[in-house]
Amino acid sequence: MTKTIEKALFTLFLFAVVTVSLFLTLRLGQVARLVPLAVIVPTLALLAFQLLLDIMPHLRQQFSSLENKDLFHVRRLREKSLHPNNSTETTAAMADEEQGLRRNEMITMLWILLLPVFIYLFGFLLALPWHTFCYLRWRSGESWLMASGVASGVFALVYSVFVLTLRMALYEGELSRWLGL
Amino acid sequence: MVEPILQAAWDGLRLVFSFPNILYPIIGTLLAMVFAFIPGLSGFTLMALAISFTLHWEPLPIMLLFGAFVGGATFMGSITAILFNIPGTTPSAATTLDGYPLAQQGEAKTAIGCSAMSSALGSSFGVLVLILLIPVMRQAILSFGSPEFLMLSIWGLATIAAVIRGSLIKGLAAAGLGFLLSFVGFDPRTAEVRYTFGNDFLREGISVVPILLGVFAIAEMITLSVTGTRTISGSAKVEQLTGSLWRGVQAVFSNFGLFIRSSIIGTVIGMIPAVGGTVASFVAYGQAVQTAKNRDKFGRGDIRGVIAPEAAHDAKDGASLVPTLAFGIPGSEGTALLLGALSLHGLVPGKELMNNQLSLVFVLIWSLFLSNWLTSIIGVALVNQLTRLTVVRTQLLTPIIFALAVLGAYAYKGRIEDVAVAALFGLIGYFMKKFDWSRVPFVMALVLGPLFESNLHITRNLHQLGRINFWTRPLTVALMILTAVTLLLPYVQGIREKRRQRQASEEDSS
Repeated sequence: MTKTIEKALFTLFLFAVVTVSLFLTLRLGQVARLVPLAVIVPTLALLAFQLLLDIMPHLRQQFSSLENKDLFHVRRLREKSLHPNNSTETTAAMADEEQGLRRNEMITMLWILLLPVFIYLFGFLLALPWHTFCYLRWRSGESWLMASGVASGVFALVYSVFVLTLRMALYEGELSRWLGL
Repeated sequence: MVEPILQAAWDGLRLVFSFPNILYPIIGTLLAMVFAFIPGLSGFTLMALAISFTLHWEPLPIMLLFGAFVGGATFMGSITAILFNIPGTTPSAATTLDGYPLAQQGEAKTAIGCSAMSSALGSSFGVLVLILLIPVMRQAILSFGSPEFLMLSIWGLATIAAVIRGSLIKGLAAAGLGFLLSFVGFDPRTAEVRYTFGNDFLREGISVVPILLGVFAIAEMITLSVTGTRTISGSAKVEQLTGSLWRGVQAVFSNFGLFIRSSIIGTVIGMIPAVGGTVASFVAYGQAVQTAKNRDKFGRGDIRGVIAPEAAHDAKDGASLVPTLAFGIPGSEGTALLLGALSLHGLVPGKELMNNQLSLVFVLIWSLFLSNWLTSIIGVALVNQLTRLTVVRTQLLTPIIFALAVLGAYAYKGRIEDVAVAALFGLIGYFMKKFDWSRVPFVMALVLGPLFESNLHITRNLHQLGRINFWTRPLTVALMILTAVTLLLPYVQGIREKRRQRQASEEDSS
């Protein structure tokens, strides 16, 4: 999947969210719908236009002043100083890197989505150190010792700060509750 | 009129410099410095995490701590810019142009000394202007009613969308999405339930805290995890630094005119919402080159090329608080997070804050002032130790920040659903960053949403009742025109740019 398609898909996702909001807004009463409609209609128009820009390169070129504005002419100087030696990168290397990034992205997203699931099932006190350990051991490739050390540190931090000091009732987790842990 | 301001300034100063209050800006500055130095982390990550953990605090320590966060991270980016040619923060990019060549010529200490002094003095300049503007701000706020505040928030958003780097359309649409999110829950006038899908959790509205944590802290960690460890340099060992700190400090005073000009540029730019430090430092660098008699050394290690961006970049900190404190229009990601923290503690910028809680405003200002000086002093004193932080393996930090972020989201209201909200907005924030959707207008609209809605209702009612005429209020009309001009600016600039390119190509062919 190219970055252009990814971009367009993200815009499409936002467009879908706002479209659903529009339908929900139309069901509201006269007063309650007033302000949301004043926001939704222009937002939807802007997103539709952005979607067109994302999928039609010639249109993007035509409206390049809106797409890549640089009111203070800072970009050139900034990019020059930020990436002084990037001319040596080859196209093939960049494509490889892109593919690697995409794979990393999918894996990271999975890890992020796992965290709320872990918390829901096991509660904060078990899920956070467990997630930290798994992330460090299998995502980052750290040693068993390092992963367990940092995970223990996370447990100590959460327990001392939130349970002992702030006396916060942390969520126990559905599975933990069911198992009586 | 000046007497209560002086009294508030004195009260604020006493509060900041009393024990144990003084510990807050000191700890805040140290934390901001560490976060600024560790690759992948930033002052914004720290602020987003701190918001949730300080929810039960009193407003005074909040002002002390967040003032230090705003000022604490600024100078740190310049040290890596000078030593490794890698700016720790984007505004420090301008410092690399002459700072790094100076370091290569054995003048690293001179450049760091000069940068520290320019930063500290520049920030003091910005703070001084902010203090001098307080009487004007108090007067200006009094002439603002609901229609003006409504137009001001629209103009603020339009300015941010127009000025931030990247697409105008994406900026405006992001603001619309932020507003839309703030409408979830009960309608403030009719108590009708909006966008809840019958879910009890959504009836109270989506809290700002989990979204801020997701969009700033979790999204940054996802970026870090996806792109891998970004250490400043594989060989980030700092050799014995050479040069003279004192010579660097002296250079600021021997180029005092340049320092003042650059500070003025930083202050003016800082007051415009969203323009930010990058523009300030590059514009100041440009004027330093243009006004210099001898320009040959610029780009090859001219100390004036360090003074100008550093002074401008730091002067903008104090100035950026002018629109934030007076009108609730944040100028940057940092001030948007500050505004979020203030509003969660019931501190509403504008009339209430500037008239009834002025000493708290001064606490924030003095804390910012103190942290700017502390950063420069500690930064210079501990440069060798701090640079060791740049080789910290960020993969170790990522799960810890994830853990703190989800805990922060939960701590706000004790609802497990907020954890899912933080994770979801972490992903959305990551994609926004990846596809160049600015998060500033999104967050700003989210924070301003309830105020925008109530001002719109009040204005509409007053207009319908014939109590005001929206179209004949000079300030409202002026702000409307300003909004239109702001939105047209990128388009006009594009047309001029195209015309210039066409002329250049015609000249080339002839």
